[in-house]
Amino acid sequence: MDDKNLDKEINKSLLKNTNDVSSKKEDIWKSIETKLALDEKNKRLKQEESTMELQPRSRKNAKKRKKSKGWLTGTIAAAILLGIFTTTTDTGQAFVNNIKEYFAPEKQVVEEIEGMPEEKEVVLKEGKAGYIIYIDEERYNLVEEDGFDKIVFNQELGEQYPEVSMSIRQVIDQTPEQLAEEIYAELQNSYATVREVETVNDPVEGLLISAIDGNEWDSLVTRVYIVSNEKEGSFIIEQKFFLEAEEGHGARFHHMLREFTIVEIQGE
Amino acid sequence: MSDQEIIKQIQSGNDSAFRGLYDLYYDYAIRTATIVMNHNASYAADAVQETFIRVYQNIHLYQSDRPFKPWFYKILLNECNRILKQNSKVVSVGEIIERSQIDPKLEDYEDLYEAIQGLESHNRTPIVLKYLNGFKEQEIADILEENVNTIKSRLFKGRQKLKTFLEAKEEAN
Repeated sequence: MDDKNLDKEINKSLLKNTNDVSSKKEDIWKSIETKLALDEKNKRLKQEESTMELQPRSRKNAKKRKKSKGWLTGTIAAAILLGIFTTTTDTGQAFVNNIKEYFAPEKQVVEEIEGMPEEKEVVLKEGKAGYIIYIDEERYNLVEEDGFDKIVFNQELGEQYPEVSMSIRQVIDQTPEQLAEEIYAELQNSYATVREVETVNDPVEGLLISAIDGNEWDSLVTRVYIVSNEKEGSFIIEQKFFLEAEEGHGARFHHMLREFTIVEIQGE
Repeated sequence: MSDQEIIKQIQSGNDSAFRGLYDLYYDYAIRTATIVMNHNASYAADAVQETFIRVYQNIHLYQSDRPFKPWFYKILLNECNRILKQNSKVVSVGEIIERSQIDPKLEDYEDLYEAIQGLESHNRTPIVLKYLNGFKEQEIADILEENVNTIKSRLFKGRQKLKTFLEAKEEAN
């Protein structure tokens, strides 16, 4: 068979065997229209919500909202129902040589924030400390500060707002248990309430120490997750926000951390 | 109306232009997704649907000095890969039945099509982009983010396999 003939045969075969696949055109179009209309609605809601996030509200209202939403239960239910979240909460080491070959550089996820499903695009970031994470770049940036990675809110907050960030660093020679003891003691020196160290499976498998500095809308909240680096060390992930932002930034950090995966960087 | 004119209209908020783009690109997009995804109709439909949604949502990121078609197909193939990965452990019985029902009129080309489907995806996808969509080797390399020589080699190997298959079939007849 000559080359020209072969090319023609391939082309004809591809066309003829796919002639019957176009029948769903109008159904697919309707789905696109519906989904885009829904996205527009969600976008509007998101804008309203981010405006609200920047305005201090009374603690009383915040508590009322918190009680009525049950956001964590809702989030898990939504994740199961929609099947959109990947199950990358596994923090075991992935021996990858080229990280981007194994993980999508960006993907769509649906998160439930304050009771509303929020569809967004998240972008793969490789942290210097040896991990990857997906970041919602519409709201957050990954920056380097004091020698370690920090995910920070990318809008300027007024002076009255406490810090909103999630920092990630690796300590190569201390186990999670050793670090938990130290961090617990440190937090007790500076926070009004520090909860006992607890073992968690979500958003990561590790230890958690939560601290809060009062009951006002702007009371400081710190959550420190400590995850084994699968060797002799640990990762320390420190989330900082304020009470009123618990269901906004707090929830978003929680979702982002679900995508935290330790990787062995080539050459190390 | 050219691709660029349609895109400009979408970028300026004309939603009916988006339907125009859909009409223009749907047919080959669904054919491509169907072949890339081994004739799985519902995965192909999902990939096409998500591709158009992403195109609409990211149209502001499209650089008008570059051709639109490769940009579109890059998104389409990313969506195909994402859906395949997401569903890699799920096989629908309905889909298996659907795939096994082949139109008797297509018998002449059915064997070759099955041979194309039988190619490994790294050979099959460049073949589809070249012979169904008419992309040049450099364009395929850009879409798949591969070196052009890699694409040349994958096309050559895929084509050789199909040629061998057809020659063997001719001999058998």
